[in-house]
Amino acid sequence: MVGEDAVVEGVAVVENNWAAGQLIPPLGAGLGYRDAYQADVYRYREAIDFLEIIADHFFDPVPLRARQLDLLQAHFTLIPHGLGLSLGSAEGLDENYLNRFANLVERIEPLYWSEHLAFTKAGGIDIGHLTPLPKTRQTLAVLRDNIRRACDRIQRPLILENITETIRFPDEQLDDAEFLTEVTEQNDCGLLLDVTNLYINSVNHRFDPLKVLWKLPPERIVQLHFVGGHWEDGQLLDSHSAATPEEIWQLLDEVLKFAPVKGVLLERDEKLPPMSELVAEMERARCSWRHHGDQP
Amino acid sequence: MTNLEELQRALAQALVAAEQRRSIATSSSTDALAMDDPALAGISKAELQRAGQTLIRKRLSHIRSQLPRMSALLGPRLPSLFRSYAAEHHFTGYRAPLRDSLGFSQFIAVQHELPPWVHELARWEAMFCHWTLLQNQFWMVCLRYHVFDPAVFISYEEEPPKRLTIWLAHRLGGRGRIRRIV
Repeated sequence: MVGEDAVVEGVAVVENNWAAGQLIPPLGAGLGYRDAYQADVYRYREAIDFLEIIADHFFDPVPLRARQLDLLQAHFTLIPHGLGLSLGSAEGLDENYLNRFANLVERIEPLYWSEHLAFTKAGGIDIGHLTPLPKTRQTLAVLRDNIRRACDRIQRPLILENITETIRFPDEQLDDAEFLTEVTEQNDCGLLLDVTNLYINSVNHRFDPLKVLWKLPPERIVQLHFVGGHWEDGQLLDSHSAATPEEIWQLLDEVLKFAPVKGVLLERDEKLPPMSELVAEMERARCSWRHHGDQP
Repeated sequence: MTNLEELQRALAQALVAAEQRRSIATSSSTDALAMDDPALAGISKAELQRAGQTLIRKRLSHIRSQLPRMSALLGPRLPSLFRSYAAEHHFTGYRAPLRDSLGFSQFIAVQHELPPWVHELARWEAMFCHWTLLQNQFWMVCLRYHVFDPAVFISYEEEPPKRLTIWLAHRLGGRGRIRRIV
């Protein structure tokens, strides 16, 4: 298709400029790839429009892993999704991690790559988990430096994901929507809006998720994540362990009405169900995406 | 306002430093952490406790994925056993889930109150973590129970059938193919 060729060419030429990000083609309904489904993704090939791979799982692949990656790439549009770049670390980026991420991106040449708005490393400690950032001007400055460094090394459009906020900080200078807007606009990045995280934060911290959504820049929202979590000790947890509940489907619909989203992606990690159940969820998401997004 | 670097360092300490980890692992999520780092002033201790619990929960989900048969065998006993282990251990880096799984299987293998077939299954599943983590190596596991066959149902309560088995495996180089003789 002529349009698609132009898009890919555009990404390659206008690297790291959001003009390139805006040229990302419609992707459809995708799945977060997990090894447990390595046979099923081919069996259900027609039901999966794109796959998101955890970048960390494919760093410096041994030959067998490299062949798995090549095979996935031959069949699917792959989007690498990072867990440990720690873009919010005030002490700067881990160059070793960044280089490995860059090597993976160079290998698979994705339309874009994604990471979280979080920190995972500080003071020589790798927390091993996405930890929230205070929404302050100081944090914006740290993110600006780190994102610039990352985008100098990885020359593809970057989209940034909101996380669940287990901790809220005192003296924050921006609200959730202002923070996401400032980060994406200052750094000319897209937004990977995790609808489940937005919903969980709204439940645990008692706010209206639509009021946050409607303050975001719609043209920056490129991709969505959705899945179900579970309740523990009066808190809703982002455990990726359950089918998407109706409340999150409704919020997903609202996001799709609001923004020209390119792709919606199911990311399940725990209590993995048969692939047919995931395919049913993807199909529902695809229908909503087509309906609200006026996609083909 | 607290400097961001100081705040992040204090948070990382609060979530994974040994003393706090023991507190997180052994108390309920509604108990507040005992800590007095001024960089964390104004942050809810209950929220920090929950964040620490979430981290342990995430590590446990990796254990379920890396050690599936042992996790299934331990069933509802798994979370409390893992919390006891997590109170003393924390690994970092992108291979932390594997190191954690190896460490936990070694921890299980010396828990004397558990049946011997659980110890054997722990040693057997640990072998796969070793294979992935280590480079040049030979590995041998002797099993008295028939615990490695997915077709054989193993129960925590009932002694499985005995079958003396020796697994020999070797791998030359971190990227070498694993060869095994059973």
